[in-house]
Amino acid sequence: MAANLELNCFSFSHRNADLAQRDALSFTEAQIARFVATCRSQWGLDAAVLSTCNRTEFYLFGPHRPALWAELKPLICTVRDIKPSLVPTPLVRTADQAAQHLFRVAASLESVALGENQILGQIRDVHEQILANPHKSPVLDRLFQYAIRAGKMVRTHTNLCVGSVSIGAAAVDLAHKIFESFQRRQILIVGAGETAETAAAHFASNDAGSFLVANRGPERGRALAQTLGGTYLPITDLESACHTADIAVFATGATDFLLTHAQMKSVMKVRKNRSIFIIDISNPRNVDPEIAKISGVFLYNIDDLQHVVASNLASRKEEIPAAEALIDHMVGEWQAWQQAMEITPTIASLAKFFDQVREQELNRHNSRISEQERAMLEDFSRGLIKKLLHNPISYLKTSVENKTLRKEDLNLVWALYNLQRDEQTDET
Amino acid sequence: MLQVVHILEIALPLLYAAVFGLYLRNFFRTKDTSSRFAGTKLLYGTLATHFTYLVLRGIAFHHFPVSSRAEFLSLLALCVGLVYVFTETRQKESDTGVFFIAIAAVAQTYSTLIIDDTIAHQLLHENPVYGIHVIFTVFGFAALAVSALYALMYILLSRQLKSRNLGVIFKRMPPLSSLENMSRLATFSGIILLGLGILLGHFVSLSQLNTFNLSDPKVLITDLAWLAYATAFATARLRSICGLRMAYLSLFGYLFFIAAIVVANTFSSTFHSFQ
Repeated sequence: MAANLELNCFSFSHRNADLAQRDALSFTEAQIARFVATCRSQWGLDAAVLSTCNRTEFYLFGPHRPALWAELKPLICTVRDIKPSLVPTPLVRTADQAAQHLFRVAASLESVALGENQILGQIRDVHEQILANPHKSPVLDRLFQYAIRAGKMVRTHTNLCVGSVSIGAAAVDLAHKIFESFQRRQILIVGAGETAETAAAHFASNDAGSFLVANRGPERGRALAQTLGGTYLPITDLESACHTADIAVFATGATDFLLTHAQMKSVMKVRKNRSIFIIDISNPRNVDPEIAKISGVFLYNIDDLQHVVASNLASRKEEIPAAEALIDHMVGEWQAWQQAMEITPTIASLAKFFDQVREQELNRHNSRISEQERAMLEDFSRGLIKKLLHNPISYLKTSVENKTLRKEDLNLVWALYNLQRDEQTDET
Repeated sequence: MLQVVHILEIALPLLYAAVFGLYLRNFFRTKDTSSRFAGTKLLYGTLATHFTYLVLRGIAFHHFPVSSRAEFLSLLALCVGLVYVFTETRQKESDTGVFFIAIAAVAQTYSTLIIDDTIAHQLLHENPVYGIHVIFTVFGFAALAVSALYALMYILLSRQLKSRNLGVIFKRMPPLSSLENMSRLATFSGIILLGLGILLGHFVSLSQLNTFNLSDPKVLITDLAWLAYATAFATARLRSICGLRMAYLSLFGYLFFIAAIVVANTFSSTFHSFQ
């Protein structure tokens, strides 16, 4: 990597852009392709764009440009067809800080919902776009590989992404601790409003196959039942529905208890105390809290679920230092890779120079030696060069490993042997 | 062959310790569905080695390896390991392994420490039916112990879920339905194996021991305890009793069974020491 090449990141997220600005900066796949192609053709920059519902970030690698943002802003406005006033001041990161920022994003340390998993998939998508680009970008390719590794490491070695942080997901998590799978479980949804629908959707996305929908209004009830592929029943049949249901979600606007202690006692008799998980997310409550005392009944109301969510969030926050330590480690690896890239052209030029000298000397004596002698001298000279180069190459590699390599060392090597840069050795 | 037996004697505690380490790490680590758990494969290898060890020991000393406390402990370790691996394979659930491997590791380590090749064995211990009787009986006890431990885990997790105080048990234990299934599977295996063990015991006693009497209080208590346990389990199944009640039945049923054996052993000193 030559000295004048630079990595830049311009970031727009919930930290520095409001919702309207983030919407304005949201790129489609075609717009990303156009932006990337223009950056390459106009300024010789490799570009990658991470565009999600909460953030748009531009990663650019190439020759240093003192007024890069001033040049990029009009391009962004043109590609997105927006007014420049809609583009806020970006968060700018360069070199290792840019890499560190991307690794933090991949680890979801920068996400609105700390520890969310979606972002890693979105970073994988960007990496695939980089690989699909006919103009190869080895540095951005490697950068995103490291980011994916950082994201995976944080998820594997810390509990940053463990525990649900939404009411619906917390309910599903709790239900999973009672029933391993929902495939053969019956889910009773009491109510057909937005809350009930959201809760049902959480279970449906977790392979729940059998739904019963109980609602006062048959129209809405039937509609939700149809959406879920379940069965509608009137709210008067609630008690009998509880005989067979494994999980019951209450989310209605009723002001009285829909399920009383006495009703549940008789339900559990019929169920022979088979476990039932009842989630009461109504306000006011629809289920008599006393039923929690009955054996086999696991009752959680909105306060309990909020407590679970708060506790999970607190646990995730405790994991931030561990996640940051892993990211620092990855930044170290990224730096080591960059340094290794810095010595690669030097080693290649050095080897090429020695080989040229060897070749010239052999050719000079070519007329005076036999084929057999030539072959012997070839072997001898190759062995000699290998031995002569061993120490300087080892020195360079060890310096990179120990992070003691100075620019002057590299310059000295180039000057000593009057090495010439060429296109091939610079393309790393 | 004796040299191999002695090498395996030392290797087994080390292997169990390694398996225990892997299961312990698995218990505490963040679950990553993409990574494969190596502990189960090592456990398979350890159990195969353990089985080979007992077979070689039997061949080398010309008797079923059940004639001393050390051999009994080694067989118990193998049985606990096998019953556990059976439930793990059926339920595809490795989170509880750490508890059972710990039992197997301790039993085998203690066995290795106290084993003595010079102890003389009775002629009866060379009888194959007697050997199978002991193996079935130990297997049955091990399965019932595994079932009781799963039942205990069920009760603890159920209590945490009820109290809404979601601590380490909630985070690390498998779902209640899995614990219930594993406990049921182990109970069922235990009743069958122990029943066969007791039946074979009667057969061996009738054919080999002149002093054997079915009305011997020790035999009577054992038979009745097994019958009570089996009847309770069958009745519970027929009446579709499940959940917490079934867990209490498995746990207290096992404790009752052990208590009956202890009582029989303490107050009656007839032919069988049950050791």
